[in-house]
Amino acid sequence: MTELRVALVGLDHWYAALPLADGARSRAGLSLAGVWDADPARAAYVGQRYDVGRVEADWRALVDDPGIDAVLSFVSPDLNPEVCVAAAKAGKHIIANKPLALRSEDASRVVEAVRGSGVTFLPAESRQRLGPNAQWLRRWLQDGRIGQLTSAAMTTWAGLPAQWPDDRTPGWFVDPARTVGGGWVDHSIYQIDLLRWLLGEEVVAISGQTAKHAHPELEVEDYGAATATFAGGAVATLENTWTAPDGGFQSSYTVVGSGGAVRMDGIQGRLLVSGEVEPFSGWVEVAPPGRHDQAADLDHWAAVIRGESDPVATVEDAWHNLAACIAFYESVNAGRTISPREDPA
Amino acid sequence: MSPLRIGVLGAGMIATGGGGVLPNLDPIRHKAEVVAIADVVPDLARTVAETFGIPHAFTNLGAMLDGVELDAVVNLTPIPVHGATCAEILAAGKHLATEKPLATSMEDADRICELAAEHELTVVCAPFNMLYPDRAEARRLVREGAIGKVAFARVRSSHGGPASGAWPADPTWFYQKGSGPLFDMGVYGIHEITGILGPAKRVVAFAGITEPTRTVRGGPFQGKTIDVTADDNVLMLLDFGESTFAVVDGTFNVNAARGPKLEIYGREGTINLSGRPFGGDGPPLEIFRLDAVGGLRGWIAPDMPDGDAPMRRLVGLHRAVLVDHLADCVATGTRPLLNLEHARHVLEIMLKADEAARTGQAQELTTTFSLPT
Ligand SMILES: NC(=O)c1ccc[n+]([C@@H]2O[C@H](COP(=O)([O-])OP(=O)(O)OC[C@H]3O[C@@H](n4cnc5c(N)ncnc54)[C@H](O)[C@@H]3O)[C@@H](O)[C@H]2O)c1
Repeated sequence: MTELRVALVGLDHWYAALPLADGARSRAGLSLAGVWDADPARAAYVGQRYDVGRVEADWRALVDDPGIDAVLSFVSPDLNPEVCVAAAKAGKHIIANKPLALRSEDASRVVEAVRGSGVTFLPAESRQRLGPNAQWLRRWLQDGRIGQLTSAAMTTWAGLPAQWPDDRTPGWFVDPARTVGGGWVDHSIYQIDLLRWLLGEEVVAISGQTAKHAHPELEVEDYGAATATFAGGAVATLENTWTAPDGGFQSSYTVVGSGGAVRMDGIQGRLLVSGEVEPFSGWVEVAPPGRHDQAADLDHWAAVIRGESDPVATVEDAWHNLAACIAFYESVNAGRTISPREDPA
Repeated sequence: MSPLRIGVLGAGMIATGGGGVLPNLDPIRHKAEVVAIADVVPDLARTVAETFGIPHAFTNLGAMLDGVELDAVVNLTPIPVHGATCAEILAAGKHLATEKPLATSMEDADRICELAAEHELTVVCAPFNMLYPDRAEARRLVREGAIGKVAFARVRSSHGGPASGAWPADPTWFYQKGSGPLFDMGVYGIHEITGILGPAKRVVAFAGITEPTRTVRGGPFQGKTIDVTADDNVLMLLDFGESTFAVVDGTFNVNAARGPKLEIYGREGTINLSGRPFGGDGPPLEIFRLDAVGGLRGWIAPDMPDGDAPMRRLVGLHRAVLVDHLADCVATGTRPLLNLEHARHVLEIMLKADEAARTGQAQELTTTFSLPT
């Protein structure tokens, strides 16, 4: 088995980039072969911390290098399509930051470049599908434990993101020129991805509201709530914020079906299910599945690249996730329900 | 049907206090009517009779039994006189509801059983925890095998003792030989766990005096120092046979607790009774099963049959629950859930626990009982 030589392009979304860099360096079958960031100091830091011999001043040097097999693109969404298109054209496998782009047109260019290129594309927001919680939930639904999924309520309350581990200012995360939105899209995109995957359906209509509750100085929202309708009629509410105080992070969900429900209380870490619990009725508190080891996602990605595994998600997922998020912001502006664009073509 | 005509024996705290019998009879007026009260303290019965509008007052049990037509007597006397007074009530042909414990000797308990059988009388004995829906549900679940074979149970039966709070009267007697927390508090846990698991076969115990004196912490007797002569710290281990055990405390040392009131560990799961609404957090009953749902292990908090209403009703009746249960059983001719044989078995366990603690030997139990299902 030849080693997969991975280049890290961009550290904007360092929350994901750093654990993956660590994984690429340490997991069998992978090596971290180079790093680039717009900020040379950050790139140098990562080069040193993860023992990467090669720190480039131009990302194209990595993407165009035949000695590189794969690219982790964690640049902000404004630059993400350009890196991804170049990587796909150069035949590099990709894990890419979320959201994929600022506009659907740009995302479509990535889809086009990836299609037919033979490269494996894993959207950052779809990596959660590999985690124990999502895997458990999907199996629970597939086993018919709650019948047909009819509704969901998902919520994440977070604080403002930091642009770097030792710089708590939000940087690009709140810059409308560099990303799609603020506190809503930051976590809603995961929820949309998860529900699309669980249902096997697209969002057909979305509406919602945003607000600036805790950070009125921002150009993007710190609060957003959406109602999304899926092709089969399931309805989800998605509330995501950057208004949580320090230590006040929580992420919870309820999914309800025709024959039961699942509730994850992220504050207490309690997972409850209802459904066929004969001879009892009511809720059963079960042990939550274990923590998601982010670096282990690389094993899946590598297995797909080697042709040993089917991809858990594709570039089309990234495109549809973005389309739904864009439709949400359109709805906020227009004051009415919007149908997301249906197709990259 | 006309209400049961009742005589109350003993006009003390549990007769007259807010959590006692007389102030809480209103909701069951149609079932039970207090027509007489007796107490050996001169004038006490009369004063209480006036307060509660009871037509007849007496200064002893015999006078009450002779002096007025009664169907039943509710025995609210202190522990040491339970045996003799219960026997006298039954010998006079009256149904009986009695505070716990039934008696303090097996001779008295046996005599009470004989008299009840001979005169075909209904006897109801405190404690009444087995009437609580969560206890009844725990019993049902165990019998149904919901947690598999029971390995052991842990029962918290006690509080901190009357001197640890603001007891409204002099709590001295609770700490004296002949009383003590085994009879006063251990009785609840033994009642519950035998009610749930069935009769025990053996008992072994440790007992001792935690500290030689206690100082009353509040109430009218605050600051009084009590010489402790009864064991105020008893731990019992019950053997139900086939390797099923339970540990029960009878102690005046549980000032606070965060653990469950009662937890039963079985081969397939666990039943947890929080103790709510008498302290305790969370649902009144939770059951853990290795196979709870879809092959997963997990905790279930089943709804109580009929919801909260039955428990609310019992809580609202306070100690008058005894009268309510007696009236129901007499009216319908059904065997009490709080039955005599069970009370006798509970007494035997307490007496033999005392013996076991003294001798250091596990004691075989000879009595048994069954509960109506
Ligand atoms: N006080 C409580 O919180 C409480 C709680 C549960 C159960 N109990 C039970 O209730 C019973 C009574 O307790 P209490 O706290 O009311 O005691 P108490 O001392 O306040 O009252 C008992 C009354 O019985 C009277 N008495 C004694 N011997 C008598 C006799 N031979 N004939 C008639 N009257 C007699 C006494 O004079 C006294 O007035 C006990 O068995 C106790 O275990 C009490």
